[in-house]
Parts: sequence; structure tokens; C-alpha cells
Amino acid sequence: MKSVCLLLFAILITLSATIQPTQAQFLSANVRIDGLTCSLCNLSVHKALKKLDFIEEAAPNLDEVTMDITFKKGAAVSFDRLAAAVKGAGFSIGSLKTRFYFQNVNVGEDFHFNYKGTLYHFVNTKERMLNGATDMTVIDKQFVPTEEYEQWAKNVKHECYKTGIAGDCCKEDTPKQQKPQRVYHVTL
Amino acid sequence: MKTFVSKILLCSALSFCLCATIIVRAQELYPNAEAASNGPQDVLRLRVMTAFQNHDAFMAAKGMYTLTNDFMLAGTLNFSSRLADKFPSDFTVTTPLFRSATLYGKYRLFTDDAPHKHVRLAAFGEADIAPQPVSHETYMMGIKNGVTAGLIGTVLINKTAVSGTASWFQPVQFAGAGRLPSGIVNYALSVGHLLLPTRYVSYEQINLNFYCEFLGNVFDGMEHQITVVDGQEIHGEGSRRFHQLYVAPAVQLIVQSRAKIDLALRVPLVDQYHTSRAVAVMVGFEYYFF
Repeated sequence: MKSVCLLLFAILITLSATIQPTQAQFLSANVRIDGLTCSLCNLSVHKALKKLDFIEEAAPNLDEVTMDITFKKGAAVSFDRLAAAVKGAGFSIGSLKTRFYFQNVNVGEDFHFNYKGTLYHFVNTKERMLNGATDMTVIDKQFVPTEEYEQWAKNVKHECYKTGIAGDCCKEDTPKQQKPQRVYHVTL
Repeated sequence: MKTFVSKILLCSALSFCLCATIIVRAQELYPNAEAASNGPQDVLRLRVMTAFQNHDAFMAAKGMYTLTNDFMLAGTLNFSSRLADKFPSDFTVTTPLFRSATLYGKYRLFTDDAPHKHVRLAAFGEADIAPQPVSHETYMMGIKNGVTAGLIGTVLINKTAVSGTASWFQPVQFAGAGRLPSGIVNYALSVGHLLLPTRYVSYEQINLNFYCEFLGNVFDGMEHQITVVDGQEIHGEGSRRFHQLYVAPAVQLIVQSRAKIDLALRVPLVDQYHTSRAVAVMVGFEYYFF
């Protein structure tokens, strides 16, 4: 009886580990922190990130100065608040790669999707079907080094890339009479 | 013997500083100078520092808090066993007495962060209030009465950090007290070096850092002058420019990524004012209340 219970428990654990999310949501992110070299500084960033209500866990890689973040299930993730936490700790985000669970979404250049009131604008993206966990890189000003932002700004001509607010190119996705809507720019 | 020991200390300090400038990995948590960076926002930091010089003891308790991304405040209480202006300079009391309080604010003006590189510039202001008259002798220990304004630049390239500080101190004179310089130009050049660990794995690893700081000041002060007129010595006071420069090598341990313990020496390189010829030994402890 005991061994049957153990077997059932093991099966349950295995299943829970392999269960895929059933709805669109942010799963995780990998953040590179720029400007720091010490473990004390890294702990400052770590503590600041763990205070954010949408972060489940943050695991640091101290030597490479990156942070592996797991988001709470279905949480309204705010990359602006994430960037503010890193800045408040005294540093900057050098890169932000995030994993989003898509359900049969056909994306392409200038494709937008709305997740919990925030827009995500695809740039430099060829048309393709996304199904399952997909890695995207956020390329807005706070999430890349200045030189890289300037390079992107030469290619992404949309005004919304400069303002971070939904503009003409996002109109179809922005209902009228709504207050300015935050738009992040992502690439695959 | 004393001179020989001083020379050995000086040579060691200079050799260390030379080494520190060619190392490849650095830190900017200097025991003496402030870097252009601020501490983490909404985290209280407390620092206690004790220094010994000859038979004098100095103590300081400092609290630091970063209010916004770019602005931090610090308050310090300074204690000393030396009462230079009331008694001969070698007079000491057994218990360090409260001598001055400092309010310090720093604003980060410029930030450019990149992998293995950051450039930061900050402006700072400081007000020092001493309830009793102070002399220039205790100036380098932070016991003063006046205001300071300055700029700090910190550069980290390929993990070598260097900070430079320049500031102006405007003393507030006490009526009837001994004369102080009309103003003091301060400068500092600080270099930091992370010796251990060679690879970061966890927050529990003890960090061992070496620092070398050059701390200097220039001011116009009064000195006793003797002029000979018709074979007669005439004693009087005259003004001239003085330069003081100290080298401060230090070793620092960071424990649990939240406590700093540092041991520093301050060796005079140039002391035209003849105030602090002795080597000072300083011990500091700082804790981050995350």
C-alpha cells in the first residue's frame, strides 16, 4: 500500500512538472544587469526584484551578473516596474529576454498583442505561428544599452518606439477614449 | 627607528597603490572617499568607524539612506579624544567626546552603465556643525565646522574602478577661536581591487577587497614667521599656501554580501602644515539593512 502511494505521488509530481500552461501568460525572464561587479550590489538588485508582487522567484547568476526570474502564474507583469527596481538598486538593465506562452498566434512585423491592458509590438519579426513557450527580447529604451537603443531607433521608425505609448501604428489595438496605453517593443 | 618604520609603511603603501592601478577587477566601496554611485534605494546603511593616531582616538557613527534613484542622504556624528583648540594638541581625554555632526547629500548627475563598464558623475553638498571650536588638526578626521560642495566621478572599465573627487570647503569661523584657513580645496583619487573570490557563486562568499586612496587638500593658512631686521628677530604671522597629501591603503572584507569590515592606514606623503604627521589606523564596520 505504501509503495502504491509513493508511486502515485511520484506520478503526480512528474505530471505537475510537465503540465503546460493552458492560457497565454508570461512565464519567466532572464535579465542582464549592467554596471555592477560585486555580490553586495547583486544582492541589492535581488532584494529589490523580490519585492515586486508579480515575481515568484529570482535566481541570480552572480558571475555572469544575470537574474533568472519566474513570474507568478497569470500575473500582470510590468517591465517598467522591473526596470525601476533595478534602477533603484543603483544599476541598469542590459538585456531582457522574456518567455511568453502563446496559443496559436500568427505573428509578424508590427503585430500587436494585448496582455492584461499592455500592448506588445513585434518588430524585426518574420511571419510565423507561435504555439507554446516562446522567448522574446524587449528592446525598449530602459531594457537595452544606449548604443543598442540608438541602433534599433534607426530601424524602428514608429513614433511609439520613442514614446513607449501606443501610437498610430497601434490604433487597431487601442480602443478609442482610452487613456494612453503602454506599448513594449519585442523581437523574437 | 620611527622614521624607518614610517618609510617602510610609505614604500609599502606606494607599492600597493602601483599594483592596484594595474589590476583587472575592482570595487568602489571605498573606506574613505565616496564613489559617485549611491547605495540601493530604501535600504538603510549604518557605518561605525574608529581611528587611532598617536594617542588620539576618533569615532564616527554614520547613517546612509538612498531616497530616490539618484539622491542619497547621510548623517554622521563625530567623536574625538582630542581637544586641540582648548588644550595643547597632545592633550587627550580618556573618553571620546562629541565634536561635530555632518549632514551629507549626493545627487547622481550622470549614469552610463554597460557590461564591464560604468561611468558615473555625482554632485554633493555637506554641512558640518561643531558646537565647540575646531582646529585644522582634526579636519582630516572629518571634525570641522562649515560647508562643502564638490563633484565625484567614477569610471569602471574592464572591471578596474577609479574615482576622483574635487571639493571646496568653506569653514565657518568661531569668534575668538584660533584662525582657520579661509577655504580648502580637497581632492581624492581612489582605486579599488577585488582579490577574492575569483568567481562569484553565492552571496555567502567572503569578498576580499584592496583599496588605495590618495587624499589631499590645499589651502592658504597662517604660519609663524621670523624676519630679521637689523640683526633683530621679529616674530609674526604670515600667510602662505599649504599642501597636505595622504595615501590610504586599505583591506576590506564583505561578509554575507551585506556587512563590510575595513582596515585602513593613512600615511602622510606631504604635510606642509605639520598637523598630522603620524600614521593613522582606521577600522570601519558597515551594515546594509536589506
